[in-house]
Amino acid sequence: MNPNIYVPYIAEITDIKQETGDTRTYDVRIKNKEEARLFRSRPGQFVEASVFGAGEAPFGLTTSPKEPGVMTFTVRACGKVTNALAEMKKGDEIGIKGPLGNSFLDKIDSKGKDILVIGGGIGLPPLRSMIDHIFNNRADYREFTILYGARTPADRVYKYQLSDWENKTDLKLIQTVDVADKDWTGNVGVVTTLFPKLKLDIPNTVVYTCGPPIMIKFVIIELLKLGLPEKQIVSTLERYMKCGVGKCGHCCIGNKYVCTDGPVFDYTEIKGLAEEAF
Amino acid sequence: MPEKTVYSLAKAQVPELIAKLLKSRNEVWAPVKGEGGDTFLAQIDSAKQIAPEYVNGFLGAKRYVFPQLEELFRFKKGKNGTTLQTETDQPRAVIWGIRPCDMSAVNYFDSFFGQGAKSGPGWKSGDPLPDPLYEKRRERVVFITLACNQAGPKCFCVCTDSGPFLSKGFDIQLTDLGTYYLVEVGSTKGEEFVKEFKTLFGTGNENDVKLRRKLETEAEKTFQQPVSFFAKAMRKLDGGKVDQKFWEKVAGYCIGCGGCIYVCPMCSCFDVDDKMESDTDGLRYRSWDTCDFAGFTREVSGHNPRASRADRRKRWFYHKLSMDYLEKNPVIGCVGCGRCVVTCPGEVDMATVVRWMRKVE
Ligand SMILES: Cc1cc2nc3c(=O)[nH]c(=O)nc-3n(C[C@H](O)[C@H](O)[C@H](O)COP(=O)(O)OP(=O)(O)OC[C@H]3O[C@@H](n4cnc5c(N)ncnc54)[C@H](O)[C@@H]3O)c2cc1C
Ligand code: FES
Repeated sequence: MNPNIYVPYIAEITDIKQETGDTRTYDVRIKNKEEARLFRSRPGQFVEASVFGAGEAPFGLTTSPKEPGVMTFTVRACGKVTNALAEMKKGDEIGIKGPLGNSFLDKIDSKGKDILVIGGGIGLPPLRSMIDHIFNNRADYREFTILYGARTPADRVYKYQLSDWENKTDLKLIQTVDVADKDWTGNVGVVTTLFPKLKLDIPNTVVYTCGPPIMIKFVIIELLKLGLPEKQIVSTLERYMKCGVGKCGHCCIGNKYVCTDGPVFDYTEIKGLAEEAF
Repeated sequence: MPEKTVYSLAKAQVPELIAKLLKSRNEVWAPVKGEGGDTFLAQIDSAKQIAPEYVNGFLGAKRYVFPQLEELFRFKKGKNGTTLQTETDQPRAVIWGIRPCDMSAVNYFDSFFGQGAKSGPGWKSGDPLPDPLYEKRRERVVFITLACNQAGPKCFCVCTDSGPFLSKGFDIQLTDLGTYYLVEVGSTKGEEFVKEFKTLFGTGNENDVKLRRKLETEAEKTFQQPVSFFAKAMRKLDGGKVDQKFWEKVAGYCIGCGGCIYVCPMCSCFDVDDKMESDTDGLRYRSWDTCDFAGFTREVSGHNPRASRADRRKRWFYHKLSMDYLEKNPVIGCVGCGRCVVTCPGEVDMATVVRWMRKVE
């Protein structure tokens, strides 16, 4: 982090992948070597990406970087900053502030447990950093399941990766869509309809989830019904953010700042808040 | 009041002191009467501009330490890439004559904007980060406060432990003793200030200190706002006695103008935006924002976690009064300056709502 918390590092877009009609994945590298050396992220953390002239917006990092100063995030174009990002090309410069926030690893230690990852739509990218972490340390974890839900088959991100994951023997991936198209042979229905298909070892399962607020809400309700201990439900929360560094007040839920206390919370932290988290 | 060295300053010496300050400092700010009769904290270039009488300015010292618009950095897009320019240098300034409530609010800002906060390798999630603009500005300003011998009609600082006199938290506190001020020094900066201008200051004596104590006791009897203490209201709030209906009632009177928040010396939420000044050059700035507006939390999807005015009003009062919110920074978010009482068109200001809250069964 730059000691001046409002000033980003200058970074270069090194690659752009088109994911869906409005979603792209950006590979980014911090230009200055010294600044790059200071940038090391942990799974779950995010950055504030700037397009100078349009502003800045928060995006979850999708990988644990193999080298410092390098990162990847996936962006859906839907507003001022995200549309400006959509116009950018390989080699263009943006600003990066971060890494910001806490990590999935700051919550319950899930080593030796079954892992269930539940992602909805554009909620998969931030979970991807944890998924990577688990793959990199696969022997530390037991059963590994990913549930991924999207509005339509075309809305799924990382399609290239999903087919890879489907063929893996040490991971069970189940996908579902709200509305199928003519080629879709998989599940149809919201992500919670996949729960009955799972054989969960409830006391020994840790869940990581990220997605639209309404999805997280129902996922948590169902998990609690199944008897999952509250500390084992780990979710990222999203709020409209401005500064990303605990000063502007936009991201508060009750007494928590999502940008500095989060974005990763377990259910014991979420349920006690004076405001509804979803 | 702990024993400390006191001085005196004849009112007749003030113009000379201000003149000297204008020479040795970049900026001098003081309460000034505007055309409409309101008092503002503003930059002055002569002691003549200082308002002869005032309760507290229309906006507090917030106007100085946390300006309504503040540049964060400038950017320049060139052939060889983007360069950023940061100006953290701040003026050396003296703020003259702010009231104890406003000084207390600055002390709260000190803890929020992060004096002693860390960043870098030792930083843990949730740790406060220092705000470089605020810190620099704060470092280079001396606050000279003027104690209140008489409470203003809407004031209730006596309920929030932030006036009418301060016992600590100021650089220099003046007490009006007629033709002269009693001068109390509350910090090293204050001590250095008196030393710098020692020819203008006289010595203070025991009698002046006694008089000051008497004035403080008398001032405490001059409050007209019937708000007594916050503790009972806060207990009701944290005891879960204040329900959604209560907030709907408050929201029913609120017109959502955000006025209470802009004038509040302790509210510090801001927006961040970019502005282009040419095809290649621009700046990022922050500006005061308010949790009273729906757009404050509305997300791209249209989802708004605080969609109703009742939720937004609840947020404001909880943030200021609930122990739950105060755990990180255990100072209630009100200094009793009375500005929201003056400003709120719906009369659902802090004083009124605390009064209602106390009565909740
Ligand atoms: C921790 C965190 C992680 C995130 N991770 C990701 C991620 O990995 N990928 C991703 O795609 N997104 C992510 N997001 C969401 C992302 O940050 C938002 O999509 C982004 O901030 C949108 O910014 P924008 O400038 O493009 O939109 P804005 O221009 O800010 O628009 C936001 C919305 O507000 C409306 N609006 C704008 N201005 C006004 C106005 N003046 N009045 C009324 N309405 C207005 C717009 O119509 C729009 O609907 C994350 C968010 C958080 C908090
Ligand atoms: S985004 Fe500004 S305080 Fe969290």
